[in-house]
Amino acid sequence: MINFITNFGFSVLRLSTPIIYAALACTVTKKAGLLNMSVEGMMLCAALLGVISSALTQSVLLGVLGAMLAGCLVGALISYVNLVGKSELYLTCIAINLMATGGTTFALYMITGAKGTTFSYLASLAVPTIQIPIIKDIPLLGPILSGHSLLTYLAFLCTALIWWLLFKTRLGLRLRSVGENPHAAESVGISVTRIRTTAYLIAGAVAGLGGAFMSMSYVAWFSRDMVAGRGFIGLSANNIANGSPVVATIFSMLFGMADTVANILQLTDAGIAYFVKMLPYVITIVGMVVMSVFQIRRRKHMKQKAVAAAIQEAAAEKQT
Amino acid sequence: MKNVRRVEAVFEVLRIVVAFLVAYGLTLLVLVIISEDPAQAIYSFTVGPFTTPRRIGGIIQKAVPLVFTGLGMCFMYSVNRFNLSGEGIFIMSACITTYFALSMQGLGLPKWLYILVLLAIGALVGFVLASIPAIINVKLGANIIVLSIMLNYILLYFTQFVLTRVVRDVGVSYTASYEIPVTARFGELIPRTGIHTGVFVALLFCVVVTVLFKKTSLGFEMRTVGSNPDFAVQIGINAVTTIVLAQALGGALAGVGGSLEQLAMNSRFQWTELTNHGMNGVVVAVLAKKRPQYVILTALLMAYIRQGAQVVSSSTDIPAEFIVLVQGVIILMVAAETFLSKTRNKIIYESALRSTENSNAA
Amino acid sequence: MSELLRVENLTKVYSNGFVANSDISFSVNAGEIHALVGENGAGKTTLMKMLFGMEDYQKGAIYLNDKKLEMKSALDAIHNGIGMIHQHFMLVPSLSIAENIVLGIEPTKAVMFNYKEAVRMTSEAAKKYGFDLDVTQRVSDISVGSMQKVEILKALIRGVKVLIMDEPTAVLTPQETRELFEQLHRLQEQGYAIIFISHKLEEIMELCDRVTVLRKGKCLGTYDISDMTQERISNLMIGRDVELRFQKDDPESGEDLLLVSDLIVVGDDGKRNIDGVSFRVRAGEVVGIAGVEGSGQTELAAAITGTEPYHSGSITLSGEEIRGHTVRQLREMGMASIHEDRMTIGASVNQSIRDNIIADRFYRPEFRKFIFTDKKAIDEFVDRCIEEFEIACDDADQPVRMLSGGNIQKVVVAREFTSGCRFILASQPTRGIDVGTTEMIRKRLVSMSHENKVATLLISADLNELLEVSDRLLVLRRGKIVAAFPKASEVSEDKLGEYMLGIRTMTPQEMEGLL
Repeated sequence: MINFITNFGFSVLRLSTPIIYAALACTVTKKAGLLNMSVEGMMLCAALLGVISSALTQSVLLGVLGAMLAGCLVGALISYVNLVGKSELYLTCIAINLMATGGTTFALYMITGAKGTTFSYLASLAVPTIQIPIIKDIPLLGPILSGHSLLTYLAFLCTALIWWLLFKTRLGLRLRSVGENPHAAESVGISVTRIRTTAYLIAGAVAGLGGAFMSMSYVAWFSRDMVAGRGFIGLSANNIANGSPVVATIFSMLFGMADTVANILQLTDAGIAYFVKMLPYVITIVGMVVMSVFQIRRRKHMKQKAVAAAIQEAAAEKQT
Repeated sequence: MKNVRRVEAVFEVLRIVVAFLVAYGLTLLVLVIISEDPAQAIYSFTVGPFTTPRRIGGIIQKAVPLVFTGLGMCFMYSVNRFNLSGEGIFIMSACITTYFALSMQGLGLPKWLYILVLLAIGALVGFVLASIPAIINVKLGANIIVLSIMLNYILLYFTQFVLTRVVRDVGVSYTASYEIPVTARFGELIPRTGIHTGVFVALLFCVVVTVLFKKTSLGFEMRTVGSNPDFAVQIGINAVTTIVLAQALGGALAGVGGSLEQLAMNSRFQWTELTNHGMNGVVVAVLAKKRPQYVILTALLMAYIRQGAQVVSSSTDIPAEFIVLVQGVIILMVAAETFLSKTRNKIIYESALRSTENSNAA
Repeated sequence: MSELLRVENLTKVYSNGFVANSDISFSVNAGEIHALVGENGAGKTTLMKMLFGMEDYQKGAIYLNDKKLEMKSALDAIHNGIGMIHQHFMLVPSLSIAENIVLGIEPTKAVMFNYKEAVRMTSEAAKKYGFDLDVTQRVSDISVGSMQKVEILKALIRGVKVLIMDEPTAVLTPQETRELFEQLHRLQEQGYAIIFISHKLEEIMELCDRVTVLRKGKCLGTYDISDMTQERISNLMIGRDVELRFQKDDPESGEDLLLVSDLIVVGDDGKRNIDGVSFRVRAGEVVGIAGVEGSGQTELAAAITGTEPYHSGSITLSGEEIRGHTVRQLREMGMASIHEDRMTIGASVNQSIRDNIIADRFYRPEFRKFIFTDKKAIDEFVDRCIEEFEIACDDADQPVRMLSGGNIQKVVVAREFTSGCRFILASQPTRGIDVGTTEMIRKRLVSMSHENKVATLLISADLNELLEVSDRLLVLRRGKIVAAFPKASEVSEDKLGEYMLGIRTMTPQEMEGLL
């Protein structure tokens, strides 16, 4: 039983990692006033480039940097088309995701000659796992918290970093002002285009880390469509969190838990396994629905209270 | 002012043509760079689709599902909701159609009725499934792209469950369903081209959808809601119903497309991953500027490119996926408002100046 | 006084071919308050945007201290010493006053934003220019007058020499206006140049030194205020003396068509936007609603047309409660409405004239054949409308966005006036449109009521319009009716203004029987 709990806890952290990165990447652009619907494409490109560059350079660091660069490049492309080309964001992101899916498959095939994976074709590296000294010896918590990929710990660090960036720095102040009232920002000479481009580049780098996790930690190779909607799951975690990096991380972990459950249950029956595979996606939809209903209810309730109070007040005034 | 309209209209078409040409040109360039035999690759890609009757037939064959998903996306797009569930619906309705085709084989239905019932089932599947994200989106404000993509994954896994557990023919060595009876399948229209009688159904739907868009109340309501939802509400149009209904109908079309593809092209259901027909439908609809009357044209165009890619990949070592470049670049350029806008504005400016000069002179 | 800013031959053509400004030239001196006037649509806003680097132009040049300016953005304009106070404030609600003011020129400590320094800087500047502000307050919590001060401070702290103010008094109370004028005079003494855009001629006469008049995108010239009268400026702006007051008979009012009683509409913030309003509109009469903008007009209109819910009280149309009816049902019951915001809600500007005109009736049997739309019937109808309402266009296929403001409004009224309505709600029906169309719309409103026995509710910010068109007048202030006049023709503008601004209020007893 204890074994099960530690395994489960460990898996939740592991499987939440890419979703956290995705959610944070979305948070940055959301604060700048734009939805980042191509985080999926960013992660996919990053995952591939991480594998390629780590295989070529035989350096984990350069591999991860390559992944981040890939994310940034995708971010740059989106901001160019969206901000300079003034394109519809939805369509742009659809096109980018389409190109990322097809493009990575194409590259994969060109490299390996078969459409499957880079496994055994490319000698790519994995990000090292870390045993945290003292903590690893704590019973129960130790095996859950210790022994993760460096990128998993970095994900939580990123949450703090993004929070600091958004609320404590000059860039964050400008970013929030652009998101809340772009005309105001523009009128004091803050370039909305530049800030939003910066937001997309940061998002690209963060999503790049998520992609790197997929191909350099989760597994140590690239396979087609390996992000499998995790970018979108992160996007919905961010949507639910309404722009707060901390809440986004918490919800990412919830979705990560669904993924874990799916992973554990999968070991049984092959036919039922397909239903289990649906779980993360079903839970994401359910999560979105529940949160929206909750928010709408709360807003409605507050409004009803305000209305009732106002009407009561009006009646009281009439009496006097 | 008439000048302005003419210039705008010309540029609307020009933008698409130029976007296509640029994307196509870029693709050719990439082909030249990555191919060991550039001349052969370019020849295969551009002329290849027309070299044999079977290849020409292949264009039409490939265009048929794109017509359906493209028309479907026209519905979604016309109310400005990028409901991408067409992708999942396509495979789902093919799967469900297979199931019903197999379970109805004992009924002895005449061919036309058999097929009609199966297509209707496909339509129903699409109608119901597309309205799920549509309703959640309008009622709760959840992001439609996320919803529909999540749905696509769910549908994919569901079909795989059905494939392995319900309809799988254990007698064949690969994962596939039992064979669908010939009476339920579309026949070949022109021998040795692969062109099947389903083409007529596609043409029929093009006409029906065009009429629906241009000549019915629903078409007007969709146009108005898509153009200005606040106006629509103020004028008495039920925007919520219109938005959901449009997407459900779009899904129904994708559903018919999936059914028809299954009944016309494959004797068994054997897809194990998403087919990309839905996403290609987006490209078709974008190129057609969400106007159903142009969908045949743009579907053929995309089919031609896919056929070219297939010829290339069969004659060289280049995988067919390189055409996503064409698709992506087309969407990006058509979506970019500023693309060619400078030239257009300059022309409009000059014509406006000319006309003010004329009126001053008069 | 030395010349500070000079504009030569500025010409701007928008991408839809509309010539917004042609050959505009004028100059502004240091220490001058310079008025810029023109009717709505005369090109003031475009001119200001060009001066502030927000729009490019095809011809001409802008000079500051004889140096030709090349401005690509608002930032360039600010760097060059030109600041602008927009009509809609350019503030970020969730940030504090200090953060808003220093936005773009933030003090930093390493890469961190130095909030303490920002507070110090801004409170110092506020003191220096005599603004009474607590800079740590969040902008979402402060009054409109304070927001304007924040805007001015934002410009001053950046060292601008020329301050453009776009209708700054439109949102202010009389006291706030007075305070603003004092502040502007103080800035004037310190050598700042102020470009003051306004419709309010008496304010211009009181405040400004010179005035530049625009008409239909052209500059008519610059005049010393001391040589001008309000009438002359008005004549220059409008171009001819318009006798708008037209004769109309007293109405013969019939049964109550619209009955509003004890209506309460609460906003999201719990504020009572409509606070216990009761009145009736009878067949055959025009009831006008006056009030300073934001007194609840928008909310009242939305409740009556059934587009937003109301929370207490009742609204009935021909005896039937509005709640529980869809907008289409209400329209079927004889309601028509001209929305105050014609560009985003009243019309669908990207659709054709035809689509706009038939938008509320495309489904009716006379426009249908079997299950299809009857294009011939629709075309005939639309062409008749275009002819009758003299909509200047190429044909019915033209997108509405290509028309001028007046013609767009003609499309709207062509739809609403021909709907066969029994009750019409006209919100700001002539705001910002040309004199000819204005006259047509006003005459129609009156004749529809008096001759066709339509009940009309007119909500307008234009006092002239209210006094001319209405039979009865009500004044709305802070969501309440504070005055009712049985005969609009006997009310003076001054008196109306006093009620609108809250200088006077009628008691319920005084209004009894007049609602």
